[in-house]
Amino acid sequence: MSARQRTFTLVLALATIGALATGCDSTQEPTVTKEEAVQRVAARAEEAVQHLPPGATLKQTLQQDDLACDDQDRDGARFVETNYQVVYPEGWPVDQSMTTLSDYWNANGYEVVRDDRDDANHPELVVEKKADGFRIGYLISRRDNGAADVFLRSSSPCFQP
Amino acid sequence: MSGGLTLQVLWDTSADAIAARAAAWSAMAEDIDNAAEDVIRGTREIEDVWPSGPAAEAATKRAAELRAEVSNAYNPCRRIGLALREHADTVRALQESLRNVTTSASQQGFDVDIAAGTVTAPQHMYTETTSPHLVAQSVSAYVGQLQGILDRAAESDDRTANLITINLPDPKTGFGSLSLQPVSRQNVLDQKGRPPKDVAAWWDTLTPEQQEQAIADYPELVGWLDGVPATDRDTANRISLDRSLADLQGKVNALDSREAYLKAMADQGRLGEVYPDSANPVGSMYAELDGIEEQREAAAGPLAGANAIKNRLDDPGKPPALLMGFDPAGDGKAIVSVGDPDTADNVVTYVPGTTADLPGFGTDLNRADTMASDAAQYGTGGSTAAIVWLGYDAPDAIPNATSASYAEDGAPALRTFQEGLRATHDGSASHNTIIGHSYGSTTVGYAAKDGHLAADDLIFVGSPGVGVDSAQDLHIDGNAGNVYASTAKNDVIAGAGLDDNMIHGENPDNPGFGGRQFTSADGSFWHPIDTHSQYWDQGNPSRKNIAYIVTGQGDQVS
Repeated sequence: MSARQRTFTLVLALATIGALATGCDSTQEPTVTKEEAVQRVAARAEEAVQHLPPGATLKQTLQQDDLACDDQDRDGARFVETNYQVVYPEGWPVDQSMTTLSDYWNANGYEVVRDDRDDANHPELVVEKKADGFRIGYLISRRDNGAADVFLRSSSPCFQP
Repeated sequence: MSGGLTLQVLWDTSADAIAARAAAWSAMAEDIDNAAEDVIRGTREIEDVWPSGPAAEAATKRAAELRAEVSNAYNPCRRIGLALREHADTVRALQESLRNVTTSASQQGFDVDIAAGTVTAPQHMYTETTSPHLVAQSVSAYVGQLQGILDRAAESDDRTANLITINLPDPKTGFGSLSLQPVSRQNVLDQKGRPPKDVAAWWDTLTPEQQEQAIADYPELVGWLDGVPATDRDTANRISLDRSLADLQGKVNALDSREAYLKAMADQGRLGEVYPDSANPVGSMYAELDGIEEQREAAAGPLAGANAIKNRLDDPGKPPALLMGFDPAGDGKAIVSVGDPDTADNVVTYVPGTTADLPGFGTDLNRADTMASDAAQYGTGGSTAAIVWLGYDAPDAIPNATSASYAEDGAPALRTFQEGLRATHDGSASHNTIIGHSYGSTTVGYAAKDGHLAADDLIFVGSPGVGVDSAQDLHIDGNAGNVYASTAKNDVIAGAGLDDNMIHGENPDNPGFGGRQFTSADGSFWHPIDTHSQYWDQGNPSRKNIAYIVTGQGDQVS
């Protein structure tokens, strides 16, 4: 393709972007405040751990409560995400925990966003609460040394803070 | 020194024992370095808090001597450690050569006497051949090889002994208590443009006291010097950051004060005193207020970016981060690493694209945090440092992104930065990845197109093209199979071309490009701009794939 053709096609794209940037691309944000979003993200993680086999606790590894929804920060929309490690005692049924949690989510208004439960080294399930768009994921990470680390990742959809 | 060195001595020498002593010297050097920093930081305020009197003068003098003494001890210890380590490696290699020669000679039927250092042929070898001179030639060749091994061993032995001797402390004066000459601005300026490995070598020749002085006196230079260790750059850049914050906040405060003053004078009907030469003092006030507002807005962006960096560096709830570059001029430049790249097993450098600048740096910082966290979750157990590299002037707006000039201008800086990571990394080489998003991918592509880019893997997400039409044309430590790309189905950037011909070259997320593709979530057809920014969102498979590549598990991507 010549440089002229490339420029032409980019201009077409820019025209699209320009139209979208005027408002056509605005996302439907739920009506939550930042504090509510942070709280609900934490509550969803707690809810999940309550339905894991007994003995597991959560250790927060990263909390991000000011994530921009787009690079250009057009309308100031934000989302929050918190990562946790699931700390469990020796002998805890790691493999069974995935099934237990997925059964709970399936029966309680969550729908699957990504299902990688068949992955041998990193079985993972990400679901979304249909009612409000908040997401949560459960990951089992099998390390080279034979250990299995377990993580929960809970996040909100975009909202206007 | 090596007069008594024989092949038998070489054969019996324990290279591991030498390596263990090398490690001990290096560890001692590191302890001295840490102690030197403690002494320097703990004593340099003496003059300020205890300014006068004979006791104060004596304390200041003694503190200066102590700083110099402990600083002067560092480099000799480090050099002895390095010399011993090199000698251990040499001995190991020569022992291997010796084994190979003796095995070969024995298999050919010759008698090898290591203790005597001789190779002889049994008499029958001469009598059973029609060419006895060839037997003699073989003997001579083996002897020559053995002599070569012995010569190299002696040379290494002499060199190491000499290095130890010249670096040992004087029995009377120790390592001395005189401070070495301060590092001048010109000394630092002379390093700019040199290969980072040479800069690293120069930095290592400085005593801890000289390094501290260079950092304190020229933070804006040392902070951007590729080849200086990340922790030292961090110290320098935090000084620059604090100064910039004070400067920017001072400007805003001065503007606020002036505005309040003008309004107060207006309320009191005294504007004539403020503008004695003006025929229209009220008009003059409004003109000045407009100017104040403009200046305040100009300062607000850099101030927001600097504060975002400061808050991230000081956040105890997140992993430690290092400030590897900071410059508030223009759109601003900054480099922040989540984790220490000089000690990490994996290092990922994230290059943001169009609209990236200092005021919006918080968004890029968050992505670095996300990638470090993802690497910890999906990795094999090693550590990962995630760097956001805004060491170039990115296009301010989408129309500017049609020009390749931003990428061309940024490419050399990215190349030397990556070389610097290699030069300052401790121990074995880390697995280094560069990820370019949007126009950032174009910058990465130009860096790998026009020179060698020190990275094992490249990742392009949401790319408008990378300056070449084939992965084969990108020069990295890996090959075309180490070039990965993904563009979401509904990413608006997909419209920046016709078929797979993008504005800056062939679409890297296309089989014809010759790299490897990985999956990202499609995104919403109705929200293509949002989709362009969603590669780090929860549930997007791109996050998992990026983490796999960053942690050296590229074979796992899907």
